[in-house]
Amino acid sequence: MKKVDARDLIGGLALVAIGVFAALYASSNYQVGTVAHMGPGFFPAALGWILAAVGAVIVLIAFRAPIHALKPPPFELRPFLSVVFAVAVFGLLVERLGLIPTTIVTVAVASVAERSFRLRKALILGVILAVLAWLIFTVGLQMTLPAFASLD
Amino acid sequence: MLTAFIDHLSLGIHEAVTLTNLWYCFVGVFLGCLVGVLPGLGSLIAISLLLPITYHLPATGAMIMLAGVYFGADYGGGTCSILLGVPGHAAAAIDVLDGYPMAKQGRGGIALFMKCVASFWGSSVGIVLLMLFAPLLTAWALNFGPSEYCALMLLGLVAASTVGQGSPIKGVAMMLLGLLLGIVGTDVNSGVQRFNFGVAELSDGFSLVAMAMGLFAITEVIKSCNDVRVSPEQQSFSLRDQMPTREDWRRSFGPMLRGSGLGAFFGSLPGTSGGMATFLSYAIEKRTSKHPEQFGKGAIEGIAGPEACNNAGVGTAFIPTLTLGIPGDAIMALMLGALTIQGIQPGPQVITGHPDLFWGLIVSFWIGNIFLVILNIPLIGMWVRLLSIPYRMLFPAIVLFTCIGVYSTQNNVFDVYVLLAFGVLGFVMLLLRFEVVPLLLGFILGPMFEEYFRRTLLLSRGSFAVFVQRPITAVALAVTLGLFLWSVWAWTKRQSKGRAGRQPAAKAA
Repeated sequence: MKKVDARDLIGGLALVAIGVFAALYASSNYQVGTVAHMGPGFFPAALGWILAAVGAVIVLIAFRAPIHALKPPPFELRPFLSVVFAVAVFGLLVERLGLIPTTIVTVAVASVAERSFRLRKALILGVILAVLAWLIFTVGLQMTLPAFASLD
Repeated sequence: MLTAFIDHLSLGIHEAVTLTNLWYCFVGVFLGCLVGVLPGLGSLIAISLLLPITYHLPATGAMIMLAGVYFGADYGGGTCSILLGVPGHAAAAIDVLDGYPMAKQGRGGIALFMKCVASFWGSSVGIVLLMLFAPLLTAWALNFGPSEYCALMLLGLVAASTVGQGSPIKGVAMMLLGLLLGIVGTDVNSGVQRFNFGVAELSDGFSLVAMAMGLFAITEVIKSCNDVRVSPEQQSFSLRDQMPTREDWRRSFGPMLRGSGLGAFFGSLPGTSGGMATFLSYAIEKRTSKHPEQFGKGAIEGIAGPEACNNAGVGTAFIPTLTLGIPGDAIMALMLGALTIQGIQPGPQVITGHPDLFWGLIVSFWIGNIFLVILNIPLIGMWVRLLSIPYRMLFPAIVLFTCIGVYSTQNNVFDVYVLLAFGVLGFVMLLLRFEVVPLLLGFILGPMFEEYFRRTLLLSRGSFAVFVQRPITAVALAVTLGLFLWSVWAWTKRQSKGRAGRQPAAKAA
């Protein structure tokens, strides 16, 4: 029985797109030069075309491959989104609020990933980790980040 | 030869046995153990998590600490495998097979003790070989021109991307993508900004720390924060309970010798890390044993052999990394990345230009292994207790420390968004079953590879014939091609056999 392997199809097409884009972008924006005197565009352009070719091979295989033995992990939206938001929130807040408030918010947002999430537990953990982070990074490693920053 | 060996040893001892460097080594080993013992967190994650801490250390101290982290995390993974029956990380999966049954029989302490002995023996073998062969290889490598480096790098890259579990073609694709990502930033030859799309922060390229942490730590957290967790087998770990019997010693001796030989050989080859040699060692012990039926039910040989094998390989893996500047796997690539961050160009000039760093680092490997014994035999109870911390408290901490660590390297929020982007990329790649390791390797080696490639063709006036005319270059390229074709062939065969190609680790997990 033959099936289309959707994962390889998506991955392969994405690689073809990235490769073609990189090759065209490099050869139109940077000097390519000759083989003996390569410009900054030569290597990325060549690499882009090779990547696109390998991507195309993956697409071809996707149409011929039998069902794979290794199962992918099931996709869960909740942990994905909460971890992504936690990192984003850290980036947005860290220079505006300072280390301690940012830590509490980041930990709380990350904790949502878990099915048995409880806000009170997450906040307690956030406070503990905030003190720990402050001790390690500000006191121990002399990082210049203030514990609290004023909103401006 | 012997006098040179002793000279190097004393130089190394002089450098490594200072109070500060001993402290860096201890901190590295301790933190490595701490991260490595947690399920799912292996040496790659441990090194990426702790890379930022070494940013502001002196070069020797930073490398000593990172090597300590590597040993510690590698070791801790095995502890987790034995006590929980869940592989701490892929390379430690083999310890589950016999270690966990031993723990269930109440012999967990003995399993851990023998693992410690085997690991110390294996490491010592690896380190001695490293000290003997590194100067020889360096002397040889000083004659290498750019074409040799180019070919050897290609061999390393192709080996690491094809000798995996998955499709070799997808591995090569990821390696190419890594090379492409490595181009982002300023071109050293012309000063042109490439692929930075007007973003000033990208003029130095993507931050290695942010990228490694995103691909490994963030991806791992997203993947596993809802996994079911088991708690360790309850048992006593007093020193007396850990003492192997005379029978245990007798049975472990041969496997340790064979394992360390096997590991030392495979460790020095590119692309063979991640437990391949340990599985081979396990298979050999099972085949040569007088009682193969005990394997998988708590045979001590199943720990002693693979553990010695793994640690001997760790030592010899440093040989090509430190002498040629060509890493065989992602961990070694991260080590090279750390060296570059410290402003030291990897290659044979490391050993000639920075002999104190080189020999100090090697002696510190040995000191680190002594710390491991101290930390793991009398203090094993501490790690067992650590294993019972619920993951619900650990994973937000990992996310947090990843963010702070990335931010702290350059005090720049942009790096946090790079972390986020690579976390997402790593997770997408996991879903699509693309391997992350070749991508990182390509990223780290990319700029060097391009440099050597351009120089080769500049010297040959644009003629590709140089790649077949120089003997070492030609041999390395032929091996690369052979390896690629062989792995594609082997993979096609595995595909048609379907499930038969699965490794025992998959079953154990």
